[in-house]
Amino acid sequence: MRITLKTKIWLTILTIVLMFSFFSLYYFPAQQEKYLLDSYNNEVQNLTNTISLGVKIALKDENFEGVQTAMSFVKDDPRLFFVNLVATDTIWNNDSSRYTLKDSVLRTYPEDTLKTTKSHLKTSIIKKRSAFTSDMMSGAIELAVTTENIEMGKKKIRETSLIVSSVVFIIGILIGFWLARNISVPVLALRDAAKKVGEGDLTQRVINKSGDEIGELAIAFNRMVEDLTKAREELRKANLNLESTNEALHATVANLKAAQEQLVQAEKMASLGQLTAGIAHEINNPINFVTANIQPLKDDMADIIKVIDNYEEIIKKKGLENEFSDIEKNKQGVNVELTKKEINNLLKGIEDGAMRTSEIVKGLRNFSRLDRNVFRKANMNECIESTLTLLHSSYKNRIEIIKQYGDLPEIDCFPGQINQVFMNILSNAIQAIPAEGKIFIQTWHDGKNVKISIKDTGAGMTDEVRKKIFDPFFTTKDVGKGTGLGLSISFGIIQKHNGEIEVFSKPGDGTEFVIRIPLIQQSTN
Amino acid sequence: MLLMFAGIIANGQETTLIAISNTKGAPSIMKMTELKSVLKGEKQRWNDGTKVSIVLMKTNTPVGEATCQKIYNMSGDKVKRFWLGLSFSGKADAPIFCNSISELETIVAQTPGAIAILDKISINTNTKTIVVDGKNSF
Repeated sequence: MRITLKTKIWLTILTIVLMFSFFSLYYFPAQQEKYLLDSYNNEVQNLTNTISLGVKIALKDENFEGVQTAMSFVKDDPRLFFVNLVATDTIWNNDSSRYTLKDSVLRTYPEDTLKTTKSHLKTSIIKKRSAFTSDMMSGAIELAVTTENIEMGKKKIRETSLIVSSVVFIIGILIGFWLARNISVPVLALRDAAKKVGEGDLTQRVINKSGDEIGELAIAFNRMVEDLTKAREELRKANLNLESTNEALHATVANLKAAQEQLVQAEKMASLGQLTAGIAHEINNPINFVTANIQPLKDDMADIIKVIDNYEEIIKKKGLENEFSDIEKNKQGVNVELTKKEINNLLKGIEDGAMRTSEIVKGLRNFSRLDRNVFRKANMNECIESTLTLLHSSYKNRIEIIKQYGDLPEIDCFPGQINQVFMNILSNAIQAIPAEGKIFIQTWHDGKNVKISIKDTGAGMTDEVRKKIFDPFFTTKDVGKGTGLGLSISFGIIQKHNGEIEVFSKPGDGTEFVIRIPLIQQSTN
Repeated sequence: MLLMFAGIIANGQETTLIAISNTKGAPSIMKMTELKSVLKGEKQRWNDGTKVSIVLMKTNTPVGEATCQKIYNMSGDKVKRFWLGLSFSGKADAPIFCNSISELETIVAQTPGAIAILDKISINTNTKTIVVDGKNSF
């Protein structure tokens, strides 16, 4: 069984108090009562002896009044129960071989008391006898006194003992409380504090101002906790340093990875740009032939048709139909008028196709402009148009593009990278609109910066997503459909242009990207 | 022992005794039986109502011894015991035992109703001699 320190203190106090109570309530009163009774017996015996002596002297002096006086010696004593003058006579049997002693009471006081000696034997009575012998008679004085005084004395002793015991008990309880408060409570507080410190709470301190061992223990404990706190603080700082170092390492690794990916992406884009530029250049030459020759071809065809019409008019006027009957036969198999219209239509189609192809090639060339490490002048409206041209197939018949181009000056930039930014943002806007919708494109400038706003009516995004969209490798698209690098690379490109890119979005309310790029770059890379 | 006892008795019987009393109380003439009755405490008051007070010489004096023999027909100790019992039983007041004749005469003279036994005629004027059975002495 585990006995706590408090219990031990209380057991000790209770043992002492109970032992003291036993002595003060039982042993000491018993001893005092015995002493009191002995003293009382002695006193009564002495008193009896005194009366007996007085009676003896009076009898010797034949002074019967003296006998009375001696017996009256205790007359006024409140303790007196009776006093007897007993005569002892020797009674012989008839042949004088044996005798018996017979006591007879000659005088008793108070007179109404029974004169028999044995009837007074009560527990509350002490009876003493003092024999005397005189010439006149042999006898004794019997003195009986009440023990009321003794009983009262005993009662007082018991009461005093009870009071003393009660006082000692109360003092014991108070001492118990005091000891518990000064020993048990501080020790328990120390235990609790140690337990909490063990659980990691180093704010625990023990308050004990006493100068005893417990106080010293509390001081030592507090000092230990302070040392622990310092050690833990140093450890925490070291840990923080490690964590920050670790985070820095992670960030560096992530940056390196992102940079690597961006480099790879840039390399890809550069390769794609070279390829596109090459294709555009190769296509541009033949398409130039087509577009350059289409108008002369049309003019020539108009001249040929005019010549044919003149021939037919002359044949009709001069009646030369018989001479050209073979031609007439051929004309009957061919619908000449319809053919002339068809030729015009075909030429128009060739012209439109050539023009469209020329625009695409132009867009490809614009988009895939190879950026060298120097800023070049470019018009943002044209960049946007080039990008839209390339994305035309992904939004035609589904999304309405509402353009509000401002009159922009050309700015210092890397046009290929800027096109890449527009491509990323517009691609995301088109993908954010699942069915039909609108994309608003607005450009303007304030004399120092060009600003481009691209806003879609798509699904929008939460704040949580919005805060992460520029993080490398963050994507909301399905696996394999997005690398999570597009906007991250775009952010880096705009930063490279000393500009900024902001995004505003709410779920269900579409998304708006606002890009700011300085008109003039302070330094060229 | 027997000789001594016989001597004492003889000595007691030889002593002539006289009964005296205070002038007040006791009659001047009495019978022996009447005197013995009074001296044994059987009479508490005289005819005139005065309280009877018995005054005797101590039992160890010749007069006392003679008184014990002639009046009480007992030894001195027996007489004392007799009076002890009588007085403590409240039946009579114990006699006053005197050491000398003069003391006895003085007490008798000063105590109305007092009666005493001595061996000579008192000359105290406040006492009187009681004639017992027609004699001054017995």
